Amino acid sequence: MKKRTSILLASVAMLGMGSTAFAQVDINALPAVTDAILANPDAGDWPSYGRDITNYRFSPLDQVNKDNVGQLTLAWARALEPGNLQSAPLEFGGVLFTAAPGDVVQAMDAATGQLIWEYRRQLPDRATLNSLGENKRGIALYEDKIYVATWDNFIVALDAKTGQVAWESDRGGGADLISNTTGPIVANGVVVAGSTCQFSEFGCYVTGHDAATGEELWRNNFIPKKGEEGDDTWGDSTEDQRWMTGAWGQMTYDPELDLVYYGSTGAGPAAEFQRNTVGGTLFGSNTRFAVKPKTGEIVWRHQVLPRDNWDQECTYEMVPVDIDSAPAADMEGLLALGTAAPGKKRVLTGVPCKTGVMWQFDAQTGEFIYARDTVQQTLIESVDNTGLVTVNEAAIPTEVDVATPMCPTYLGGRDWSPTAFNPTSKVMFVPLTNMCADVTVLDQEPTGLDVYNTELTYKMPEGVTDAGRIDAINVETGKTLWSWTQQTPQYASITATAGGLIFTGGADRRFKAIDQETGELVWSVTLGSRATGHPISYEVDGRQYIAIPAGGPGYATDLITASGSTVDVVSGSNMLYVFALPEQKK
Amino acid sequence: MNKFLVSLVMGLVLTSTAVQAQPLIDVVPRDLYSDQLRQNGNSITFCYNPDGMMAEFEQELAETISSVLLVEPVLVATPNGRMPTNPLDYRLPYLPDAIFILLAEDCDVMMGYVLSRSAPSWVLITRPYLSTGNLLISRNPDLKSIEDLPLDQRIGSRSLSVSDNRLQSFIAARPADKRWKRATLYHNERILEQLNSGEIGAAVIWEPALYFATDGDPAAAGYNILPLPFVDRRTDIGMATRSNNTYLNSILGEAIGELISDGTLDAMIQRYNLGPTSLPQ
Repeated sequence: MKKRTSILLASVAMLGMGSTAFAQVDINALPAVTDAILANPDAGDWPSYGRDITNYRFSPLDQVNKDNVGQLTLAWARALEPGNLQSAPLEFGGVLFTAAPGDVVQAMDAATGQLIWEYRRQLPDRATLNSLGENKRGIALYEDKIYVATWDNFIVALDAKTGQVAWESDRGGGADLISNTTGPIVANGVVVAGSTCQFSEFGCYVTGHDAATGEELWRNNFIPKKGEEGDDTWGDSTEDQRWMTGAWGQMTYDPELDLVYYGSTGAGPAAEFQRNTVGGTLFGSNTRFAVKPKTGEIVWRHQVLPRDNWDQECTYEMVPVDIDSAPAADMEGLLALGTAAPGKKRVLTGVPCKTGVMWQFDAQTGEFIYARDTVQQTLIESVDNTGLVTVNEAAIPTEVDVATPMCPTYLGGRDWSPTAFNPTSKVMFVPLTNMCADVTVLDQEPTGLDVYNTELTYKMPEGVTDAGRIDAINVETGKTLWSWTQQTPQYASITATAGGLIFTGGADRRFKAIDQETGELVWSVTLGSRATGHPISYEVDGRQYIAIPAGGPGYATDLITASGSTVDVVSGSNMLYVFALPEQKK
Repeated sequence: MNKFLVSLVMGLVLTSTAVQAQPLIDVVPRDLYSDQLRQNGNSITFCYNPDGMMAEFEQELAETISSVLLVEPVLVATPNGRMPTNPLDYRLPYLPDAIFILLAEDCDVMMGYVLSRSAPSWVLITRPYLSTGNLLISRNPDLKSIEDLPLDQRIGSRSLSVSDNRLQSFIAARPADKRWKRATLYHNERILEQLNSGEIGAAVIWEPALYFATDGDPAAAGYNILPLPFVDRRTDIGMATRSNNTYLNSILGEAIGELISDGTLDAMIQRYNLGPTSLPQ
């Protein structure tokens, strides 16, 4: 493996140098990316993971709309590094930046795909790293630098114009399988990044680094130590028996409130009787946090799933939104309404866990507003009007080799692929998988590294025929406007545009456009392999582009089999596809 | 023995063809590994974890099996330089995708693989060369059974182990005021450390770990073996091959059977202090 990597490294480095002369965009003219730009980018740019730092994944561009989307054609494509591809490209000033597996970061001309520079991190053998860290989703752009959370758990700052390393900071523990999958954000001059400890014998953390110097300013851990708050919620386990809790999902920054929002994951092994925490609510796990980016001070926190026995990982993005709050008592799947007064307010809303439950809080105080189900969900018994969750005892495995039914599965509900939010219509578009499983805690020892020690037999929910689903939910009322479904699980990120469309990929290789108002599929094209990356939209010289990285594999193979779909799933051959309307003849 | 050799050569030729024709499983992106044709002639490549407690035993076993099959053993150490091997344990320091790549590129055989139904579909495991049990131990010589252990002392076990499952069930079945607390620890060396320090009063431990750590004499090292208060479940360990290499897997199993029959394997197990009851029956 090492020999081949070296040859590849040498060849790609040459390609990068040779290509520089052909790039069309002048990267040296790239302006600095300020806090104001991150908060409110130009309509044609996509400078953050979710375009704006609040993570809406909404582009104001409307050149491509439901009337002409059928004319979309391939503008250019470019091969990306092989590996588990889930990339989230950025675009700013006509330059497209993307990260790919193997910690390869590239800058290219956004109109042509011509390579400008490439950074290729020297990594240890992949066999020695947390395999999840290969999924290099997001990178962050701020001032004149690109920030990367590397597979071996460094924060690296690259010169955005050259790809040269400006600084790097070792967060430690890369050899102990700590890594990062979704990438950092930059909030008020601080690089904030989570971490995953899925295969480590301890818990993880979120860090804040000075964006200019790389100095680590703060570090927030999740699992309480002996004598700390919440120590007594971890059952009979002692401090050295508490593992895994981290924060690997996408974070959001609210510049109006100067708060970073992130969420933590569950604990390992999956079953509480195996991890010695029977009945314990696991303080610090599956909790939503609002923190000050300069200091890491926790302003508020709310646990959205205590006592996790199902790997439900409440770490996914929630977004701050100004709304006229009017939660409807008849919203579909309502679990609870809070006591907050309706009316205009800034809320934090989204679907933070694999449970698929949509939550809403006051963005500033954390006051609970509502929680509602989306897909079939059997893990939460009830939620009270303060947002306190009681789990379903019947869904908790209590002994080995006995199947316990659960909905959704370890793959969600929803999983890492993000939602999109239209700030005008106040509608959130949520990628979902409607699937259940019988989970069996194994009475055997795994050979290699494993953290769950369970086996899942996937099955469709009673009366459901389509596993793949996208819900359009009005976040002011909590009501579902439409659900688009298909037999094949989606398992793909969503992007919304002012053209009235959402764009999404899928395990079935189809890159799709769906009408935001009706939920109708209005366009699709079949790509070479799984459409696993994050779609983005940007504009160069008056032309709107829609880009999506595709390749794989994803994780959804088990879901596809159980869904009954016979779709032709193809993995590998990673590629960035960029579509646009045909150029007008001059 | 000659029939083994003829069959082996034919088998390796046949399986080489099959590897090319078989659709590849979506475990690792296809562009990240090369499926190697098995064109090494009269040899079998055995991979082993050099940092594991069974490394020397596994090397000798590979050589002995090769002599039974009249083939050349190629021993390949596959250390994981950054990921620690848990001491006194059998677990391999690889994630599944790393094992997949090793079997595709470097190894005909991966030593030290546990027989379990959760093994991925792309591996096939031979009949076991070790069948291992668990023991209840204490450093307190006055304990005659678990009932003598004060309730305020914890019982250690290795997290995720089959013995921990049984210990948990055993404790849960007792009256609420007659229960000890468990200490589910990350590896077996930590169990011995916490016994030695008095942090735990007793422990359930993998038999090979105890005998290997004490040079085959737990009593001399101060460990008191108590009756196990529940029915043990054994962990069987064999060799993994690619699932499409059924012929190789089959003849390896037959060779292991011969070594069991003629007493060779038992002698090796005792010489390497892997436990008095670890010979597969």
